[in-house]
Amino acid sequence: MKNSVMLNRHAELPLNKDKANLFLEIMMAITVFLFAVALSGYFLVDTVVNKWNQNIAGSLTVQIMPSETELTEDEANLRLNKVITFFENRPNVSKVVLVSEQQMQQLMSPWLGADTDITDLPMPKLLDVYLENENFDYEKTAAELKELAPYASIDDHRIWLHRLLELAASVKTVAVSVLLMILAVCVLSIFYATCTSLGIYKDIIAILHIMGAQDGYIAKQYARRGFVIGLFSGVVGLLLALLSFRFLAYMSADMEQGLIGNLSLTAANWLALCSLPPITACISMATAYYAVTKTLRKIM
Amino acid sequence: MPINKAISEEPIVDIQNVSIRYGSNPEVLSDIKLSLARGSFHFLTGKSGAGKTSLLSLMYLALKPSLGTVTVFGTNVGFASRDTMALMRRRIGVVFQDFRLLEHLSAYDNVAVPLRIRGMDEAEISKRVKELLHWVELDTSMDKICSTLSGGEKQRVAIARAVINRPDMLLADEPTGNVDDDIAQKLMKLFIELNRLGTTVVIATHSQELINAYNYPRIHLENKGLKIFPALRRVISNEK
Ligand SMILES: Nc1ncnc2c1ncn2[C@@H]1O[C@H](COP(=O)(O)OP(=O)(O)OP(=O)(O)O)[C@@H](O)[C@H]1O
Ligand SMILES: [Mg+2]
Repeated sequence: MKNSVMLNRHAELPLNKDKANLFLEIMMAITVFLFAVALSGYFLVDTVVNKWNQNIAGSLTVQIMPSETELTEDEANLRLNKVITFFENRPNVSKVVLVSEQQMQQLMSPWLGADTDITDLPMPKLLDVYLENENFDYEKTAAELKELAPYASIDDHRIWLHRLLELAASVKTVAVSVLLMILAVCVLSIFYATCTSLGIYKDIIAILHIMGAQDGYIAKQYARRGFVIGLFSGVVGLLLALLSFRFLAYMSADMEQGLIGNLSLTAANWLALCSLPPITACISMATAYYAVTKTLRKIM
Repeated sequence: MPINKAISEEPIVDIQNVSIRYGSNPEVLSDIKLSLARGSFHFLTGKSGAGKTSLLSLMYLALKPSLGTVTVFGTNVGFASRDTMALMRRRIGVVFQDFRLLEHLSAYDNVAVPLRIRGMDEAEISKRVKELLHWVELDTSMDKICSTLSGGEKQRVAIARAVINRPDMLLADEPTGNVDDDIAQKLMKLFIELNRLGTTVVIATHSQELINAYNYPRIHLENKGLKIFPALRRVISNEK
Protein backbone atom coordinates (compact mmCIF):
# COMPACT_ATOMS: atom_id res chain seq x y z
CA MET A 1 0.00 0.00 0.00
CA LYS A 2 2.71 2.43 0.92
CA ASN A 3 4.35 1.54 -2.36
CA SER A 4 1.35 2.22 -4.50
CA VAL A 5 1.05 5.63 -2.91
CA MET A 6 4.67 6.51 -3.36
CA LEU A 7 5.31 4.84 -6.68
CA ASN A 8 4.11 6.58 -9.77
CA ARG A 9 0.46 5.61 -9.88
CA HIS A 10 0.39 5.08 -13.62
CA ALA A 11 3.87 3.59 -13.96
CA GLU A 12 3.88 1.23 -16.91
CA LEU A 13 5.79 -1.43 -15.00
CA PRO A 14 3.64 -2.81 -12.15
CA LEU A 15 6.64 -2.91 -9.83
CA ASN A 16 4.60 -2.15 -6.73
CA LYS A 17 2.98 -5.55 -7.18
CA ASP A 18 6.27 -7.29 -7.81
CA LYS A 19 6.70 -10.42 -5.72
CA ALA A 20 10.36 -9.58 -5.23
CA ASN A 21 9.45 -6.50 -3.20
CA LEU A 22 8.80 -8.34 0.03
CA PHE A 23 12.01 -10.31 -0.36
CA LEU A 24 13.96 -7.12 -0.99
CA GLU A 25 12.33 -5.34 1.91
CA ILE A 26 13.07 -8.11 4.38
CA MET A 27 16.58 -8.57 3.06
CA MET A 28 17.36 -4.89 3.20
CA ALA A 29 15.78 -4.37 6.61
CA ILE A 30 18.03 -7.12 7.96
CA THR A 31 20.95 -5.58 6.13
CA VAL A 32 20.37 -2.18 7.66
CA PHE A 33 19.86 -3.76 11.07
CA LEU A 34 23.21 -5.57 10.86
CA PHE A 35 24.81 -2.49 9.46
CA ALA A 36 23.53 -0.37 12.33
CA VAL A 37 24.74 -2.91 14.88
CA ALA A 38 28.19 -3.22 13.30
CA LEU A 39 28.46 0.55 12.98
CA SER A 40 27.45 1.12 16.61
CA GLY A 41 29.97 -1.52 17.65
CA TYR A 42 32.61 0.37 15.76
CA PHE A 43 31.60 3.66 17.37
CA LEU A 44 31.57 2.17 20.86
CA VAL A 45 35.00 0.59 20.51
CA ASP A 46 36.21 3.94 19.22
CA THR A 47 34.73 5.78 22.21
CA VAL A 48 36.14 3.29 24.70
CA VAL A 49 39.59 3.44 23.17
CA ASN A 50 39.53 7.22 23.27
CA LYS A 51 38.53 7.14 26.92
CA TRP A 52 41.34 4.75 27.77
CA ASN A 53 43.74 6.91 25.92
CA GLN A 54 42.63 9.99 27.77
CA ASN A 55 42.42 8.43 31.20
CA ILE A 56 45.40 6.19 31.13
CA ALA A 57 47.93 7.20 28.59
CA GLY A 58 48.34 10.50 30.36
CA SER A 59 49.17 8.97 33.71
CA LEU A 60 51.17 6.36 35.51
CA THR A 61 50.92 4.78 38.90
CA VAL A 62 53.78 4.60 41.37
CA GLN A 63 53.78 1.98 44.07
CA ILE A 64 55.63 2.54 47.34
CA MET A 65 56.12 -0.68 49.19
CA PRO A 66 55.72 -0.71 52.95
CA SER A 67 58.98 -0.85 54.84
CA GLU A 68 60.02 -4.15 56.32
CA THR A 69 61.03 -2.51 59.55
CA GLU A 70 58.87 -0.43 61.86
CA LEU A 71 59.09 3.29 61.01
CA THR A 72 58.02 6.36 62.89
CA GLU A 73 55.43 8.51 61.25
CA ASP A 74 58.07 11.11 60.35
CA GLU A 75 60.32 8.52 58.78
CA ALA A 76 57.43 7.11 56.80
CA ASN A 77 56.41 10.56 55.57
CA LEU A 78 59.97 11.35 54.60
CA ARG A 79 60.15 8.14 52.66
CA LEU A 80 56.95 9.04 50.82
CA ASN A 81 57.74 12.69 50.25
CA LYS A 82 61.06 11.82 48.70
CA VAL A 83 59.27 10.03 45.93
CA ILE A 84 56.58 12.70 45.56
CA THR A 85 59.19 15.42 45.24
CA PHE A 86 61.15 13.30 42.79
CA PHE A 87 58.13 13.11 40.46
CA GLU A 88 57.04 16.71 40.99
CA ASN A 89 60.44 17.84 39.80
CA ARG A 90 60.53 15.63 36.70
CA PRO A 91 59.96 17.33 33.38
CA ASN A 92 56.55 16.76 31.71
CA VAL A 93 54.77 15.88 34.92
CA SER A 94 51.69 17.99 35.62
CA LYS A 95 50.48 16.65 38.94
CA VAL A 96 51.26 14.02 41.56
CA VAL A 97 48.39 12.78 43.71
CA LEU A 98 48.54 10.39 46.62
CA VAL A 99 45.77 7.83 46.50
CA SER A 100 43.89 8.35 49.76
CA GLU A 101 43.23 5.64 52.33
CA GLN A 102 39.57 5.87 51.47
CA GLN A 103 40.27 5.19 47.80
CA MET A 104 42.57 2.37 48.77
CA GLN A 105 39.84 0.87 50.83
CA GLN A 106 37.51 1.08 47.85
CA LEU A 107 40.07 -0.50 45.57
CA MET A 108 40.69 -3.33 47.95
CA SER A 109 37.11 -4.01 48.97
CA PRO A 110 36.48 -6.65 46.29
CA TRP A 111 39.28 -8.70 47.84
CA LEU A 112 39.07 -7.89 51.49
CA GLY A 113 35.41 -7.09 51.90
CA ALA A 114 33.98 -3.65 52.55
CA ASP A 115 34.23 -3.83 56.34
CA THR A 116 37.90 -4.67 56.75
CA ASP A 117 39.91 -1.79 58.14
CA ILE A 118 43.06 -1.58 56.06
CA THR A 119 44.86 1.05 58.14
CA ASP A 120 46.44 -1.71 60.18
CA LEU A 121 47.57 -3.72 57.22
CA PRO A 122 50.96 -3.24 55.60
CA MET A 123 49.52 -1.66 52.48
CA PRO A 124 51.65 -0.10 49.73
CA LYS A 125 51.05 3.55 49.05
CA LEU A 126 49.99 4.55 45.57
CA LEU A 127 50.76 7.74 43.68
CA ASP A 128 48.92 8.83 40.55
CA VAL A 129 51.34 10.75 38.39
CA TYR A 130 49.69 12.80 35.64
CA LEU A 131 51.77 13.57 32.60
CA GLU A 132 51.67 16.74 30.55
CA ASN A 133 52.46 15.19 27.20
CA GLU A 134 53.87 12.20 25.37
CA ASN A 135 57.50 13.20 25.96
CA PHE A 136 57.82 11.62 29.36
CA ASP A 137 60.88 9.36 29.50
CA TYR A 138 59.83 6.16 31.24
CA GLU A 139 63.15 4.30 31.13
CA LYS A 140 65.24 7.14 32.46
CA THR A 141 62.75 7.90 35.21
CA ALA A 142 62.53 4.27 36.24
CA ALA A 143 66.31 4.00 36.45
CA GLU A 144 66.73 7.18 38.52
CA LEU A 145 63.89 6.21 40.81
CA LYS A 146 65.59 2.89 41.50
CA GLU A 147 68.70 4.75 42.62
CA LEU A 148 66.86 7.17 44.81
CA ALA A 149 64.16 4.96 46.33
CA PRO A 150 64.46 1.25 45.58
CA TYR A 151 61.23 0.66 47.53
CA ALA A 152 59.20 2.52 44.87
CA SER A 153 58.32 1.19 41.44
CA ILE A 154 56.53 2.50 38.37
CA ASP A 155 53.48 0.58 37.24
CA ASP A 156 53.44 1.25 33.55
CA HIS A 157 49.99 1.26 31.91
CA ARG A 158 51.43 1.42 28.49
CA ILE A 159 51.99 -2.28 28.04
CA TRP A 160 48.51 -3.52 28.66
CA LEU A 161 47.00 -0.43 27.08
CA HIS A 162 48.99 -1.20 23.99
CA ARG A 163 47.54 -4.72 23.88
CA LEU A 164 44.03 -3.40 24.36
CA LEU A 165 44.52 -0.85 21.63
CA GLU A 166 45.69 -3.59 19.31
CA LEU A 167 42.62 -5.64 20.16
CA ALA A 168 40.39 -2.62 19.64
CA ALA A 169 41.98 -1.99 16.26
CA SER A 170 41.27 -5.54 15.12
CA VAL A 171 37.69 -5.30 16.39
CA LYS A 172 37.35 -2.16 14.31
CA THR A 173 38.83 -3.87 11.26
CA VAL A 174 36.33 -6.70 11.65
CA ALA A 175 33.50 -4.18 12.00
CA VAL A 176 34.56 -2.40 8.83
CA SER A 177 34.82 -5.67 6.88
CA VAL A 178 31.38 -6.68 8.12
CA LEU A 179 30.06 -3.30 6.96
CA LEU A 180 31.61 -3.78 3.53
CA MET A 181 30.28 -7.32 3.17
CA ILE A 182 26.80 -6.24 4.21
CA LEU A 183 26.95 -3.49 1.64
CA ALA A 184 28.05 -5.95 -1.04
CA VAL A 185 25.23 -8.38 -0.21
CA CYS A 186 22.73 -5.55 -0.35
CA VAL A 187 23.94 -4.22 -3.70
CA LEU A 188 24.12 -7.69 -5.25
CA SER A 189 20.61 -8.61 -4.12
CA ILE A 190 19.14 -5.47 -5.59
CA PHE A 191 21.10 -6.01 -8.76
CA TYR A 192 19.87 -9.56 -9.28
CA ALA A 193 16.33 -8.87 -8.14
CA THR A 194 16.25 -6.10 -10.73
CA CYS A 195 17.59 -8.36 -13.46
CA THR A 196 14.97 -10.99 -12.60
CA SER A 197 12.26 -8.38 -12.69
CA LEU A 198 13.42 -7.19 -16.12
CA GLY A 199 12.95 -10.77 -17.31
CA ILE A 200 9.46 -10.94 -15.83
CA TYR A 201 8.38 -7.70 -17.47
CA LYS A 202 10.23 -8.11 -20.73
CA ASP A 203 7.02 -7.92 -22.75
CA ILE A 204 6.07 -4.58 -21.25
CA ILE A 205 9.61 -3.35 -21.70
CA ALA A 206 9.55 -4.43 -25.34
CA ILE A 207 6.35 -2.42 -25.87
CA LEU A 208 7.87 0.60 -24.17
CA HIS A 209 10.94 0.30 -26.38
CA ILE A 210 8.81 0.11 -29.50
CA MET A 211 7.03 3.26 -28.40
CA GLY A 212 10.38 4.99 -28.17
CA ALA A 213 11.32 4.68 -24.52
CA GLN A 214 15.02 4.91 -23.81
CA ASP A 215 16.54 2.60 -21.23
CA GLY A 216 16.66 5.50 -18.79
CA TYR A 217 12.87 5.78 -18.87
CA ILE A 218 12.56 2.18 -17.70
CA ALA A 219 15.49 2.50 -15.31
CA LYS A 220 13.78 5.45 -13.62
CA GLN A 221 10.80 3.32 -12.69
CA TYR A 222 13.11 0.74 -11.14
CA ALA A 223 15.14 3.45 -9.44
CA ARG A 224 11.97 4.88 -7.91
CA ARG A 225 10.99 1.46 -6.61
CA GLY A 226 14.53 0.97 -5.30
CA PHE A 227 14.38 4.26 -3.45
CA VAL A 228 11.03 3.55 -1.83
CA ILE A 229 12.01 0.04 -0.79
CA GLY A 230 15.40 1.23 0.44
CA LEU A 231 13.92 4.00 2.54
CA PHE A 232 11.21 1.80 4.00
CA SER A 233 13.54 -1.08 4.84
CA GLY A 234 16.13 1.35 6.12
CA VAL A 235 13.71 2.80 8.63
CA VAL A 236 12.50 -0.64 9.69
CA GLY A 237 16.04 -1.98 10.07
CA LEU A 238 17.17 1.04 12.05
CA LEU A 239 14.17 0.83 14.37
CA LEU A 240 14.94 -2.83 14.98
CA ALA A 241 18.53 -1.94 15.79
CA LEU A 242 17.46 0.82 18.19
CA LEU A 243 15.08 -1.58 19.89
CA SER A 244 17.81 -4.12 20.40
CA PHE A 245 20.13 -1.42 21.76
CA ARG A 246 17.51 -0.51 24.32
CA PHE A 247 17.21 -4.16 25.19
CA LEU A 248 20.98 -4.50 25.59
CA ALA A 249 21.12 -1.35 27.70
CA TYR A 250 18.34 -2.70 29.87
CA MET A 251 20.06 -6.04 30.29
CA SER A 252 23.43 -4.51 31.12
CA ALA A 253 22.12 -1.77 33.40
CA ASP A 254 23.66 -3.54 36.40
CA MET A 255 27.11 -4.05 34.94
CA GLU A 256 28.38 -0.83 33.41
CA GLN A 257 31.20 1.36 34.61
CA GLY A 258 34.49 -0.34 35.38
CA LEU A 259 36.83 -0.54 32.45
CA ILE A 260 34.42 0.49 29.76
CA GLY A 261 32.74 3.34 31.55
CA ASN A 262 29.40 4.65 30.50
CA LEU A 263 28.67 3.25 27.06
CA SER A 264 27.03 5.82 24.90
CA LEU A 265 27.02 7.12 21.37
CA THR A 266 27.90 10.69 20.54
CA ALA A 267 25.63 13.04 18.63
CA ALA A 268 27.75 12.48 15.53
CA ASN A 269 27.32 8.71 15.95
CA TRP A 270 23.56 9.11 16.15
CA LEU A 271 23.56 11.28 13.08
CA ALA A 272 25.49 8.60 11.21
CA LEU A 273 23.01 5.93 12.32
CA CYS A 274 20.02 8.03 11.33
CA SER A 275 21.50 8.68 7.92
CA LEU A 276 21.41 4.93 7.21
CA PRO A 277 17.86 4.86 5.77
CA PRO A 278 18.37 7.71 3.29
CA ILE A 279 21.79 6.34 2.34
CA THR A 280 20.28 2.88 1.82
CA ALA A 281 17.56 4.42 -0.31
CA CYS A 282 20.13 6.15 -2.50
CA ILE A 283 22.35 3.08 -2.86
CA SER A 284 19.36 0.94 -3.72
CA MET A 285 18.11 3.53 -6.20
CA ALA A 286 21.48 3.85 -7.91
CA THR A 287 21.99 0.08 -8.04
CA ALA A 288 18.57 -0.50 -9.60
CA TYR A 289 19.18 2.21 -12.19
CA TYR A 290 22.59 0.81 -13.05
CA ALA A 291 21.28 -2.77 -13.20
CA VAL A 292 18.54 -1.78 -15.67
CA THR A 293 20.68 0.22 -18.05
CA LYS A 294 23.43 -2.38 -18.00
CA THR A 295 21.14 -5.39 -18.43
CA LEU A 296 18.81 -3.95 -21.06
CA ARG A 297 21.79 -3.11 -23.22
CA LYS A 298 22.73 -6.77 -23.07
CA ILE A 299 19.40 -8.53 -23.47
CA MET A 300 17.21 -6.29 -25.66
CA MET B 1 3.49 18.58 -39.59
CA PRO B 2 5.05 20.57 -42.45
CA ILE B 3 6.73 18.50 -45.08
CA ASN B 4 10.12 19.60 -46.20
CA LYS B 5 10.09 19.26 -49.96
CA ALA B 6 13.73 18.20 -50.24
CA ILE B 7 13.35 15.50 -47.64
CA SER B 8 10.08 14.28 -49.03
CA GLU B 9 11.95 13.10 -52.11
CA GLU B 10 13.73 10.58 -49.94
CA PRO B 11 11.76 7.42 -49.14
CA ILE B 12 10.61 7.17 -45.56
CA VAL B 13 11.35 3.46 -45.54
CA ASP B 14 13.87 1.82 -47.82
CA ILE B 15 14.32 -1.93 -47.69
CA GLN B 16 17.08 -3.38 -49.84
CA ASN B 17 17.77 -7.09 -50.44
CA VAL B 18 16.33 -7.97 -47.08
CA SER B 19 15.75 -11.51 -45.86
CA ILE B 20 14.00 -12.43 -42.65
CA ARG B 21 14.40 -15.69 -40.85
CA TYR B 22 13.70 -16.74 -37.30
CA GLY B 23 16.52 -18.76 -35.80
CA SER B 24 17.41 -21.61 -38.10
CA ASN B 25 13.92 -21.87 -39.62
CA PRO B 26 13.54 -21.36 -43.34
CA GLU B 27 13.38 -17.76 -44.51
CA VAL B 28 10.03 -16.04 -44.14
CA LEU B 29 10.88 -13.33 -46.64
CA SER B 30 13.73 -13.58 -49.06
CA ASP B 31 15.66 -10.82 -50.80
CA ILE B 32 12.86 -8.28 -50.85
CA LYS B 33 13.02 -4.64 -51.96
CA LEU B 34 10.53 -2.02 -50.85
CA SER B 35 10.57 1.73 -50.85
CA LEU B 36 7.79 3.79 -49.27
CA ALA B 37 7.48 7.44 -50.26
CA ARG B 38 6.71 9.95 -47.55
CA GLY B 39 2.98 10.48 -47.29
CA SER B 40 2.10 7.26 -49.10
CA PHE B 41 -0.71 4.91 -48.05
CA HIS B 42 -0.47 1.14 -48.61
CA PHE B 43 -2.39 -1.93 -47.73
CA LEU B 44 -0.32 -4.99 -46.88
CA THR B 45 -1.80 -8.35 -47.80
CA GLY B 46 -0.81 -11.98 -47.96
CA LYS B 47 -1.92 -15.30 -46.61
CA SER B 48 -1.69 -16.01 -42.94
CA GLY B 49 1.95 -16.73 -42.20
CA ALA B 50 3.16 -14.90 -45.30
CA GLY B 51 5.17 -12.49 -43.19
CA LYS B 52 3.05 -9.34 -42.89
CA THR B 53 3.71 -8.91 -39.19
CA SER B 54 7.38 -9.71 -39.76
CA LEU B 55 7.69 -7.05 -42.45
CA LEU B 56 5.97 -4.48 -40.25
CA SER B 57 8.19 -5.27 -37.27
CA LEU B 58 11.17 -4.71 -39.51
CA MET B 59 9.77 -1.24 -40.17
CA TYR B 60 9.04 -0.45 -36.53
CA LEU B 61 12.59 -1.48 -35.67
CA ALA B 62 11.73 -4.44 -33.49
CA LEU B 63 13.25 -6.98 -35.84
CA LYS B 64 16.69 -6.97 -37.40
CA PRO B 65 16.95 -8.43 -40.91
CA SER B 66 19.09 -11.52 -41.26
CA LEU B 67 20.39 -10.03 -44.52
CA GLY B 68 20.18 -6.69 -46.31
CA THR B 69 19.76 -3.09 -45.22
CA VAL B 70 16.79 -1.26 -43.79
CA THR B 71 16.77 2.52 -43.90
CA VAL B 72 14.08 4.39 -41.99
CA PHE B 73 13.78 8.20 -42.00
CA GLY B 74 17.09 8.26 -43.88
CA THR B 75 18.97 6.40 -41.14
CA ASN B 76 20.47 2.99 -41.76
CA VAL B 77 18.99 0.96 -38.93
CA GLY B 78 21.97 -1.41 -38.84
CA PHE B 79 24.26 1.40 -37.72
CA ALA B 80 21.91 3.42 -35.53
CA SER B 81 22.71 3.74 -31.83
CA ARG B 82 20.27 2.65 -29.15
CA ASP B 83 19.26 6.20 -28.41
CA THR B 84 18.86 7.10 -32.08
CA MET B 85 16.60 4.08 -32.52
CA ALA B 86 14.52 5.16 -29.54
CA LEU B 87 14.08 8.63 -31.02
CA MET B 88 13.20 7.14 -34.43
CA ARG B 89 10.61 4.89 -32.83
CA ARG B 90 8.87 7.91 -31.33
CA ARG B 91 8.04 8.96 -34.88
CA ILE B 92 6.39 5.62 -35.63
CA GLY B 93 2.92 4.62 -34.49
CA VAL B 94 2.25 0.90 -34.24
CA VAL B 95 -1.03 -0.98 -33.92
CA PHE B 96 -0.21 -4.57 -33.02
CA GLN B 97 -2.28 -7.45 -34.29
CA ASP B 98 -2.64 -8.63 -30.69
CA PHE B 99 -2.90 -5.03 -29.36
CA ARG B 100 -0.17 -5.45 -26.75
CA LEU B 101 -1.79 -3.06 -24.34
CA LEU B 102 -0.50 -2.72 -20.81
CA GLU B 103 -3.29 -4.78 -19.32
CA HIS B 104 -2.95 -3.51 -15.76
CA LEU B 105 -3.35 0.13 -16.75
CA SER B 106 -6.49 2.05 -17.66
CA ALA B 107 -7.39 2.88 -21.25
CA TYR B 108 -6.42 6.45 -20.51
CA ASP B 109 -2.97 5.53 -19.19
CA ASN B 110 -2.32 3.24 -22.14
CA VAL B 111 -2.97 6.00 -24.61
CA ALA B 112 -0.86 8.36 -22.51
CA VAL B 113 2.25 6.14 -22.61
CA PRO B 114 3.86 7.57 -25.78
CA LEU B 115 3.35 11.10 -24.49
CA ARG B 116 4.81 10.27 -21.09
CA ILE B 117 7.80 8.69 -22.78
CA ARG B 118 8.26 12.02 -24.53
CA GLY B 119 8.11 13.77 -21.18
CA MET B 120 5.02 15.84 -21.96
CA ASP B 121 3.36 17.49 -18.95
CA GLU B 122 0.26 15.85 -17.51
CA ALA B 123 -2.11 18.71 -18.27
CA GLU B 124 -1.32 18.57 -21.98
CA ILE B 125 -1.45 14.77 -21.91
CA SER B 126 -4.87 14.83 -20.29
CA LYS B 127 -6.21 17.22 -22.90
CA ARG B 128 -4.93 15.22 -25.85
CA VAL B 129 -5.80 11.77 -24.55
CA LYS B 130 -9.35 12.71 -23.59
CA GLU B 131 -9.96 14.32 -26.95
CA LEU B 132 -8.76 11.27 -28.84
CA LEU B 133 -10.60 8.78 -26.63
CA HIS B 134 -13.76 10.79 -27.20
CA TRP B 135 -13.14 10.56 -30.90
CA VAL B 136 -12.83 6.75 -30.84
CA GLU B 137 -15.97 6.64 -28.67
CA LEU B 138 -14.30 5.42 -25.53
CA ASP B 139 -15.16 8.31 -23.16
CA THR B 140 -17.03 6.05 -20.80
CA SER B 141 -14.37 3.32 -20.78
CA MET B 142 -11.50 5.72 -20.24
CA ASP B 143 -10.80 4.72 -16.64
CA LYS B 144 -11.45 1.02 -17.10
CA ILE B 145 -8.50 -1.29 -16.67
CA CYS B 146 -7.58 -2.65 -20.08
CA SER B 147 -7.92 -6.30 -19.15
CA THR B 148 -11.63 -5.66 -18.62
CA LEU B 149 -12.23 -4.11 -22.05
CA SER B 150 -13.86 -5.93 -24.96
CA GLY B 151 -11.82 -6.88 -28.01
CA GLY B 152 -13.13 -3.99 -30.05
CA GLU B 153 -12.53 -1.54 -27.23
CA LYS B 154 -8.98 -2.78 -26.86
CA GLN B 155 -8.43 -2.34 -30.55
CA ARG B 156 -9.56 1.26 -30.38
CA VAL B 157 -7.28 1.88 -27.39
CA ALA B 158 -4.41 0.35 -29.36
CA ILE B 159 -5.15 2.63 -32.32
CA ALA B 160 -5.49 5.69 -30.13
CA ARG B 161 -2.13 4.88 -28.56
CA ALA B 162 -0.55 4.54 -32.01
CA VAL B 163 -1.79 7.87 -33.33
CA ILE B 164 -1.68 10.05 -30.18
CA ASN B 165 1.79 11.27 -31.12
CA ARG B 166 0.78 12.19 -34.69
CA PRO B 167 3.45 9.81 -35.98
CA ASP B 168 5.36 10.32 -39.23
CA MET B 169 4.66 6.70 -40.04
CA LEU B 170 1.73 4.54 -38.93
CA LEU B 171 2.02 0.76 -39.14
CA ALA B 172 -1.23 -1.02 -38.35
CA ASP B 173 -1.58 -4.79 -38.21
CA GLU B 174 -5.20 -5.83 -38.80
CA PRO B 175 -6.50 -2.66 -37.14
CA THR B 176 -10.16 -3.19 -38.00
CA GLY B 177 -10.46 -6.89 -37.35
CA ASN B 178 -12.48 -6.68 -34.15
CA VAL B 179 -14.72 -3.68 -34.60
CA ASP B 180 -18.17 -3.05 -36.07
CA ASP B 181 -18.34 -1.81 -39.63
CA ASP B 182 -19.20 1.74 -38.72
CA ILE B 183 -16.37 1.96 -36.21
CA ALA B 184 -14.07 0.37 -38.81
CA GLN B 185 -15.05 3.09 -41.24
CA LYS B 186 -14.47 5.74 -38.64
CA LEU B 187 -11.02 4.36 -37.89
CA MET B 188 -10.17 4.23 -41.58
CA LYS B 189 -11.21 7.87 -41.78
CA LEU B 190 -8.79 8.60 -38.94
CA PHE B 191 -5.96 6.91 -40.83
CA ILE B 192 -6.84 8.75 -44.00
CA GLU B 193 -6.94 12.04 -42.14
CA LEU B 194 -3.54 11.37 -40.60
CA ASN B 195 -2.22 10.43 -44.02
CA ARG B 196 -3.55 13.70 -45.39
CA LEU B 197 -1.59 15.50 -42.67
CA GLY B 198 1.59 13.80 -43.88
CA THR B 199 1.77 10.45 -42.09
CA THR B 200 2.94 7.50 -44.14
CA VAL B 201 0.50 4.65 -43.55
CA VAL B 202 0.77 0.87 -43.99
CA ILE B 203 -2.21 -1.28 -43.03
CA ALA B 204 -1.94 -5.04 -42.97
CA THR B 205 -5.29 -6.66 -43.56
CA HIS B 206 -7.04 -9.80 -44.67
CA SER B 207 -10.18 -7.91 -45.53
CA GLN B 208 -10.82 -7.76 -49.25
CA GLU B 209 -13.77 -5.55 -48.42
CA LEU B 210 -11.55 -2.94 -46.85
CA ILE B 211 -9.17 -3.03 -49.81
CA ASN B 212 -12.03 -2.63 -52.23
CA ALA B 213 -13.68 0.13 -50.27
CA TYR B 214 -10.58 2.29 -50.18
CA ASN B 215 -8.53 2.92 -53.15
CA TYR B 216 -4.91 2.50 -52.21
CA PRO B 217 -1.96 0.55 -53.59
CA ARG B 218 -1.32 -2.83 -52.08
CA ILE B 219 1.87 -4.62 -51.05
CA HIS B 220 1.27 -8.33 -51.44
CA LEU B 221 3.46 -11.01 -49.85
CA GLU B 222 3.64 -14.38 -51.50
CA ASN B 223 6.25 -17.14 -51.75
CA LYS B 224 8.74 -15.20 -49.62
CA GLY B 225 8.57 -12.37 -52.12
CA LEU B 226 6.74 -9.10 -52.51
CA LYS B 227 4.62 -7.56 -55.24
CA ILE B 228 3.10 -4.12 -55.38
CA PHE B 229 -0.32 -3.64 -56.94
CA PRO B 230 -1.31 -0.09 -57.81
CA ALA B 231 -4.58 1.39 -56.61
CA LEU B 232 -7.50 -0.44 -58.14
CA ARG B 233 -9.10 2.63 -59.53
CA ARG B 234 -8.19 6.22 -59.93
CA VAL B 235 -8.16 8.19 -56.74
CA ILE B 236 -11.32 10.22 -56.71
CA SER B 237 -10.17 13.74 -57.34
CA ASN B 238 -11.88 15.35 -54.37
CA GLU B 239 -10.30 12.88 -52.00
CA LYS B 240 -6.79 14.00 -52.64
N1 LIG C 1 9.04 -14.79 -33.18
C1 LIG C 1 8.99 -15.76 -34.09
N2 LIG C 1 9.76 -16.87 -33.97
C2 LIG C 1 9.75 -17.86 -34.88
N3 LIG C 1 8.99 -17.83 -35.96
C3 LIG C 1 8.19 -16.76 -36.17
C4 LIG C 1 8.15 -15.67 -35.24
N4 LIG C 1 7.29 -14.74 -35.69
C5 LIG C 1 6.81 -15.24 -36.85
N5 LIG C 1 7.33 -16.43 -37.14
C6 LIG C 1 7.06 -17.23 -38.34
O1 LIG C 1 7.23 -16.40 -39.45
C7 LIG C 1 6.21 -16.63 -40.40
C8 LIG C 1 5.51 -15.31 -40.72
O2 LIG C 1 4.84 -14.86 -39.59
P1 LIG C 1 4.05 -13.49 -39.56
O3 LIG C 1 3.53 -13.31 -38.19
O4 LIG C 1 4.95 -12.43 -40.09
O5 LIG C 1 2.88 -13.78 -40.60
P2 LIG C 1 1.60 -12.89 -40.90
O6 LIG C 1 1.60 -12.65 -42.37
O7 LIG C 1 1.56 -11.71 -40.03
O8 LIG C 1 0.44 -13.87 -40.52
P3 LIG C 1 -1.06 -13.52 -39.98
O9 LIG C 1 -1.83 -13.02 -41.14
O10 LIG C 1 -1.56 -14.83 -39.49
O11 LIG C 1 -0.89 -12.53 -38.91
C9 LIG C 1 5.28 -17.65 -39.79
O12 LIG C 1 5.57 -18.90 -40.38
C10 LIG C 1 5.62 -17.68 -38.33
O13 LIG C 1 5.51 -18.98 -37.84
MG1 LIG D 1 0.41 -11.10 -38.52
